[in-house]
Amino acid sequence: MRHLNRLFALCVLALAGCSRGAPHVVVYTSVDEIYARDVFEAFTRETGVRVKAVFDTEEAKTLGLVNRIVAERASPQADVFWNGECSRTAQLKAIGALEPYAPASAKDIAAEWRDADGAWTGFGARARVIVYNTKRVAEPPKTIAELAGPEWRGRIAMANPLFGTTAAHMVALGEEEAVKLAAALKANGLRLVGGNSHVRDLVARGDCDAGITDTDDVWIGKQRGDPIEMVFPADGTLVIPNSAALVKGAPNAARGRAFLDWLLRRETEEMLAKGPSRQMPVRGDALPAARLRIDWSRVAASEELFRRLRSVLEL
Amino acid sequence: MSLLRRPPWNPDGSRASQAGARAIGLLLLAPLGAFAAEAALGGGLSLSTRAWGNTLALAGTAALLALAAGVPAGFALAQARRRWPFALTLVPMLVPPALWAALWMALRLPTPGAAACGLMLAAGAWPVVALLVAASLARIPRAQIDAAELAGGRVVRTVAWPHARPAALAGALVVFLLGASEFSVPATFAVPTVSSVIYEKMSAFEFAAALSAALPLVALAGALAFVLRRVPAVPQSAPSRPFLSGAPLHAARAIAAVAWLATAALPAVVFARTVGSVGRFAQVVSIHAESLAWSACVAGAAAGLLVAWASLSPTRSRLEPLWLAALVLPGVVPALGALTLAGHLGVQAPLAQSGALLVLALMTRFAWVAWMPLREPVERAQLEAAELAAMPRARAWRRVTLPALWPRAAAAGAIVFVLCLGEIGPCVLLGPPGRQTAVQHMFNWMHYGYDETVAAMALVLMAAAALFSWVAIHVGRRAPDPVAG
Repeated sequence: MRHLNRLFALCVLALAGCSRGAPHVVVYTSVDEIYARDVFEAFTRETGVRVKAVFDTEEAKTLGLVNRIVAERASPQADVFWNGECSRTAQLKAIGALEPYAPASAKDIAAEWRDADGAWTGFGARARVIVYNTKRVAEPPKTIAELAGPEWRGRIAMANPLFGTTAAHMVALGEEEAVKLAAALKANGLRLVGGNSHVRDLVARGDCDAGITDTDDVWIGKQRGDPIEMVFPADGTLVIPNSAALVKGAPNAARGRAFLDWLLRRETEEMLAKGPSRQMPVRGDALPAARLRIDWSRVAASEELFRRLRSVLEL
Repeated sequence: MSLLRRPPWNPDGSRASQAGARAIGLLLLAPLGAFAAEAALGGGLSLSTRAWGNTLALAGTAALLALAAGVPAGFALAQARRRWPFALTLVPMLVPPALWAALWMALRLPTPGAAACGLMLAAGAWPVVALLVAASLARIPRAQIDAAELAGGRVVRTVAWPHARPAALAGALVVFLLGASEFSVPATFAVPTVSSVIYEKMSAFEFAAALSAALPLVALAGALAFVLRRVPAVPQSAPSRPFLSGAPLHAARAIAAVAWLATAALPAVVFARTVGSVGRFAQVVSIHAESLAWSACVAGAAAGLLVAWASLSPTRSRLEPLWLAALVLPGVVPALGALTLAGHLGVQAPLAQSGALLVLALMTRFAWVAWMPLREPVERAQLEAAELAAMPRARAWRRVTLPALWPRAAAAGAIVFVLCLGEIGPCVLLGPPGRQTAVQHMFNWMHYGYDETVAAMALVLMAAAALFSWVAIHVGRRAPDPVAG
């Protein structure tokens, strides 16, 4: 028993001794670790400020960090929230968990990509695209609506539309259009999977010939040699910028602002564009012209749409 | 205190330790209480029959398959004279279910339904049944086996199976409940289950709806724990002895070997081939050494503290149904509860940089797993004999209770350690900024394909599980000498 007691005492001491006092900024990020890590290291190299990151995981389906920020509202631990999309950030704004801040470095970002009240700023975007297998598809589809045609029967995949960017895509299509599309795809033998990377993998392996996914998933597949390509849907492409915001009551607010200034400058966007996920700068003309418009604050509030999708897709 | 007034399972006779254990047990339920309170204030209830249908199919399949593999494996383990088969049996539990989902897709099998998802979960859950059955068989008094053999030789039918049946049933129910709370596999294949509904609702901050979706699961867990409290525990009074031989033993060993080869050796070989070389393996391990150490620290703290708590007063408790309920809810529930509780108590900031809240959430989640093996470790007659011999209370604890408690504590610690190593949800919600566990890293990398980093991390975790289990069993078998005479 004495040995056990010593062991517990050591564990408690080890846990208690894990805090350090070096200058740092705490960033909660749902952006994939492989992309964000390089950005954090670059920031630390330039400023000497260490980034203490908390990453979400694919398994938690973005449930982790947003709920954590909400639960920590009385005593915030995060300085910055860097999100891979905007709907959850808009949700945090709606409940008053964000502090408005307009970084000077982001003044050249168009109003379309910024929150009207300055609660968050969008940058480096992904897009919803059609991915297809280059070995099996000679004439790729040009629109998402085409995927409901008989020539694609049993050959298409999509991620669960109740979560993530697929949910945002459905909201952007509008309720009636989204439910109609979901029903048509379902009737056409749609293969539903848990995430966008699974859609890419199914297409890359030839289990499906085409699917709807995000640009970053396609780029990663291409870099590892998968026989896939992508098409920006001509009937409207949803562009999904990253969003970054200062957390209200941030314990290191000054360093949080400095991080946002650094993150939102043109150079960081270019860095992300050259990275493995090839995120598209919202500055300049890299974005597809035929874009779907979306009010990000509506995504979380689209309960009726999700109820209908659940029913149509038997989820 | 007279013998008659003493509670039967209060080995050291200390009311203080009983009260202490009960108080800590209540404290471990505080995160669940905080979550329930948050939910009660939220409003909005909903139930999904489709999700429930899938959950029952998935969890039922997992339980049946775990029984099919676990019972023969348990019989084979009970005949083993060496320690390593026990350690190796734990290994499949540390292959993340998501990797089974990945294997399913890599094999180009058709999109699975709920039952096929249950098959993937059973791959990692059959050891629960096997270990419980083996532990139960190890307690059969030698005299009963001798008597059954003298009476005609049907030891399995007349003695072993009736003895192991409650353990097999309990194991199957635990697998059922674990399967019902599993998220990653059904989410991978977009099979809606109760767990995915809970995630969906919590994601929209609809805590009441999340709780209502979970309530039947909690009620089921409570009912199971209530039943288990009524199952008489049979303490080991004397070492048992092997009772299987010939064809039945070969058959049990063959089933155990097939189950183990399919769920531990096969993934290990696949991971090793994916890693490619020892150099690459060493490189990945060195890059992630800090997260591996952090995982070990957190899991070790949770396992150690839980075993210490459960050893305080190894009796039956009315709180067992609630501890089991904490086990069957997704890990994010106690984690969110712990965070909310810390917020209300104003200790969030001081604890944020430590792993204390994370350890608390893990302890809440796995309290039942630590408690059950340790309760009622010795027969009442032994305690009474010690008291009649005027043995001082501390000495009686050291000479009577501890020898029986020690191996169970080691086994419980090993299982909790392995389970904590594999947890993700609480780590995302409660991990200190700047620190990630090895499993978090692994899941983040899995997003980019199941490459050598994921494979190396999985191999390390499997090896850690086997090593820790072997050490725990080794320590457990070096128990202090039991009281003589």
